[in-house]
Amino acid sequence: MARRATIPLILALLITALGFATLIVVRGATSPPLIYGASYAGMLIIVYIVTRVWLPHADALLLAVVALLTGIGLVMIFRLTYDVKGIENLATTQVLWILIGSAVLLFIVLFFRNYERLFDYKYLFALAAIVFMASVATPLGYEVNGAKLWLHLGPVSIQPSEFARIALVIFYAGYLADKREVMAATSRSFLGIQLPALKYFGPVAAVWVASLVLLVLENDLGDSLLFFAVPLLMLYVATGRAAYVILGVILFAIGALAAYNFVGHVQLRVEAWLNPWPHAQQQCCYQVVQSLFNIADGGITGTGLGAGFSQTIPEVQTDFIFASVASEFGLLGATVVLLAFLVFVYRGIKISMLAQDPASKLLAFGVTAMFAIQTLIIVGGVTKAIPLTGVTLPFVSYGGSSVVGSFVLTGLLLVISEKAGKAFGSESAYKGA
Amino acid sequence: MDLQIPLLAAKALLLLLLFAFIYAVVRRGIGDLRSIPDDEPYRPGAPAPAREDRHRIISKGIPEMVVESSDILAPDTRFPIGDGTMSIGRSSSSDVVLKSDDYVSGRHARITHHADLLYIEDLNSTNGTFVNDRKTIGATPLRSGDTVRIGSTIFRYVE
Repeated sequence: MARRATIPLILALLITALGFATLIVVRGATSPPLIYGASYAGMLIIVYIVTRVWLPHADALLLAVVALLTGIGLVMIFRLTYDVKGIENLATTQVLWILIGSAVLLFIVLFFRNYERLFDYKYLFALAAIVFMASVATPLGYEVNGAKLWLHLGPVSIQPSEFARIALVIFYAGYLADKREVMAATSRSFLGIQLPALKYFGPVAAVWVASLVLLVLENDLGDSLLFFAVPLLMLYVATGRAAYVILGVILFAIGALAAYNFVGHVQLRVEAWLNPWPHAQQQCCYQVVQSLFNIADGGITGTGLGAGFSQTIPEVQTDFIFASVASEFGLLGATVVLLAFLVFVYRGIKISMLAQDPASKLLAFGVTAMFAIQTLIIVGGVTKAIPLTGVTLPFVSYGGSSVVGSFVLTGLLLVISEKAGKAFGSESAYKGA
Repeated sequence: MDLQIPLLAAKALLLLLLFAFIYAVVRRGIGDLRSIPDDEPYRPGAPAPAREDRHRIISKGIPEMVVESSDILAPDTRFPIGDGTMSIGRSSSSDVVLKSDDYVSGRHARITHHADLLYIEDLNSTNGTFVNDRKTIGATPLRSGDTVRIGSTIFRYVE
């Protein structure tokens, strides 16, 4: 495990500071209260130091990547909203969410070193996740842009699916680790395909179907894609049988075809993906067309902070933040952001490979796969490589639930990497950099 | 116009720092990569990573069951699994006959192959089949070096 990451962390904080300085000095933006910046940087440094002291074998490189991504996110959110009436305080709100997320991460780091006991409650996690996701259908839930995904709890609104997905990954990891041997074994064959005994699939299939049905009813396409793909990938990793991947592709094809024919809003998305240009001024395609114009405008090195026109994209600070990064930091900056995601995912897979027991391996793999697919879905959607489905860009996009959820995920990876790094270190007496 | 130069400078510096970050992060990542020994590929059903103390027997490429210790068979007796299947039991029609071991059922276990892996499967025997001292449930994939215990006989599976 890469245990020290002081230099990358400092670089990430410097980048954020420079970004804000550019906006304030060159663009003449009103500086947000300095206390927010100080507490943001202070919190990340505290998290880093506590992790280094308390979990000496953990992969601190993850924290440096988190610092860079949240930093770029803050700079872009501030740049996109500081002069927009009504939402000019979005960046400071995001800082508050990052502070809450970091506090949760600290809590996990301090008290969940023995994360294995989470697996004892796997069925509870699955049940809680489903109930939590279903709760948006109650009067507490409310609708934004045609998708009823948010829950009002007092002054804050949260998006249950952001948390439910982590609980579900814990469930899948715990269950599959218990049953993977019997699931890998074959008991009969059908049309020449070896089929495992179906009874072991009951719980996984029930949770999987329930979560998908809920998301489809809620019109949440991006999340349904995530909740569809991650369990299948985990099943493949747990059993090593390509049959599950093939089955997944077939199910995906059937599901996609059904959705295309029966859900009107999917047809619009596909049309906006295949050929948005004739409808550039209409609601369906305006966002994606503006996003493409912005990315093109950025060129290789970008327009420079504050010089782009990405405020023309509706909802740019959440789903489309990658377009504004590409516009103002250019191809080079957007590449750095993607590389940072790649490093995060690489570290996650590495942690999964080094982890000693199957449940930890699967948990690390599951959260990493979720993180990777989420990034892929939204970056692909924004660049019109795949049909657009709304998910946030982890850590970068504005959004409380998304930020806190991503911090929880990072906390889990940290505690898994501590245990894996410790076992690995004692085995080979390897002294990490 | 006077804003152009500081903006350009800020932009260049920002990109430089971004790549410095990636360089710093990737350098650590790769240092880490180099120091990892050749990982055994993660296979389902595999026991914990092979320990150093486990002595390996080199064979000629054909998977074999080698007797480690037994009350009834001579140690180091080799049973090649030529066509990828093998039946083990007390009955004389078995490929590996464990006669006069009261803890072995007539048709005790069989080895089957599927997708490059050999699996051992207990055939509802009375006393069970143990791979690396763990009782098997259903077909269990075998990896070179695994021990298989049936009755009093311990085999080592080698590829």
